[in-house]
Amino acid sequence: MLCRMAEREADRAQPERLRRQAVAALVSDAGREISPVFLRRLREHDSAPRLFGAGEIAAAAQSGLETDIARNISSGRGVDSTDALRDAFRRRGEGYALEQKCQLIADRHPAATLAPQSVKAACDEGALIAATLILSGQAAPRINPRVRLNDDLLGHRNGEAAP
Amino acid sequence: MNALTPMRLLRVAEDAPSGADPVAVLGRDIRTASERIARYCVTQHEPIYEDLATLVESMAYLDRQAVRRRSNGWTRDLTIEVPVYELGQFVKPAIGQALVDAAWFLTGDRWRIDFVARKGRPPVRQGALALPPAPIKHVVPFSDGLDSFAQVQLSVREHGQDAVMLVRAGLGRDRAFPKLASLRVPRKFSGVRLRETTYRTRPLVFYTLAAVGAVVTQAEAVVIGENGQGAFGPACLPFADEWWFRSAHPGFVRRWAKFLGLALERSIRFEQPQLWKTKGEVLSVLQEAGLITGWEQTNSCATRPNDRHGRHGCGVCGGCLLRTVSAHAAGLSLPPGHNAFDVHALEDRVQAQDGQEKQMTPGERAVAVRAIAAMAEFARLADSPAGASAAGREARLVDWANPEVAQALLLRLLQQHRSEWDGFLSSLPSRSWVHEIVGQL
Repeated sequence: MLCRMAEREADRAQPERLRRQAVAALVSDAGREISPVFLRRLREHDSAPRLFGAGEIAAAAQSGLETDIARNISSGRGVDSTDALRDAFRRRGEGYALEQKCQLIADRHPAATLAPQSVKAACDEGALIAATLILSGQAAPRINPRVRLNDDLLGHRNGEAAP
Repeated sequence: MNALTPMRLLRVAEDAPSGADPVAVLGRDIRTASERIARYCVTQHEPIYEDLATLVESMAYLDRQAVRRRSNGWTRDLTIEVPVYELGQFVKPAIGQALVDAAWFLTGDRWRIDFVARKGRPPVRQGALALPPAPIKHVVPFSDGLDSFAQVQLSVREHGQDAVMLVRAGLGRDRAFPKLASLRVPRKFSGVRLRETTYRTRPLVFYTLAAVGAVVTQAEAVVIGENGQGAFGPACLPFADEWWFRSAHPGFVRRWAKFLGLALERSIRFEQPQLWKTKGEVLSVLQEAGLITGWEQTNSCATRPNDRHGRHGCGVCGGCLLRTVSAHAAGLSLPPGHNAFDVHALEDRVQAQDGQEKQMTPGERAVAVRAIAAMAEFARLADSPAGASAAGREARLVDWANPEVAQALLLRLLQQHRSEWDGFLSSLPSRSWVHEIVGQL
């Protein structure tokens, strides 16, 4: 959904809408790939890093996202769980942007360059929010990506020029 | 895991029993002939060699058969039951742990491997023949590709041609190096449609057969010729939510060597002498040493032969593109008409051997764009914060205790790759179809 939205100029003109969708996408990925056991290890690590070290987190990692988070924490620079999760989400966003870029260029899509940039920016900005939501056990806010009649699709609300 | 893709148990069996679980029958669905290694080397075939071949072929079979449901994420839950002669060996916790750890690192799947006693007659243990051991020093897994060609040439230069043995897997014909000790282990899957295309277990079979070859010949090492771009590039740049591609990553090779060492109860040494060089640098070394003859006969193309329009390679897959860029860096040129698509051309059209000119299909264009993007993005890592971060992460996988050396080597590799990629791009016509794609990346 995030990639589809980024292909539309009207949605690209609404970075806040894209960011919300990126948060939803990242939280959804985490729901698939981060187990309750792994989340518990992250929280334990944050509350007592000397007691629950990086080794326990690495041992509990199975999926790609978990493994990336564990690698961030194991890097030995005092990374906490929120930073580790945010960094992994950013990289996941880069992976999606790269995949989308290749598909759109192959399809000769006119937004082949702009759309992946928007996806990457939205994931970069949404990564911290998504990380915080995951660690606090909250769901992503429900969003309706459909355009409403009162939406300012050209982003003129603040007087800026149309993109 | 909340929603990893569960799979039914695959039982590997010596005959076809009745039952609900999927069964792969040895000799029918999974065919290999590991005893050829021992026969070829005039030494005894040990049950453990047969067990290792059965194990890795079974894992490869399940990996190809079990389709990833990507909407559930990358990871699959793979359970397999494998019959082995040396059951006491394989049920040791340390061996099981090393196996599952290496398989997970390679494929990103959660493996559970249950071993059961194999009922059939084990390979006959004979006393070793009173022949002097072959003076083999290097066993090279040989894929018919450019990297393994280069490695064989360099190993022969170092130790002489009697000291190098090639191990090949599959059913192809052997054309290169007719004078060298060369062993082909035939293997074939049948019975079901093998639909999963990611096939990350490919190196398990290749490296394991080479390791068995090294043990029976008492060679010094299994030598993997993969260059640095192949070993690290795909690991640094995963697409979407894919698991890191690590078929020649030293982190995987080390894990697999550990498992094989435990199973075979002797240290198995794997070497990767070209790990910190680009393919272009390896080719340059070959050229300077006068060992380049025959390089153009090797095969780098990842597409099926039927999709190469009657040419040696397609020209646009990741393998073909890296080959072309590397040849340019080494001052070599591919023979005219070598590839179906010419990356130096203005248009992405192919001249088929029947004389017909065809436009690139959407599928071929998708492959080309991905290959070009992989090369360009890997080059961009050379001087970006993302590159420094990627180099740090990969370096810790190479050497956890002392990552600084590996990180410096990897950064140098990135810079060399960028230099070769930039040199290649500047050799293209400014309005070429490749430039048009690069301009959008």
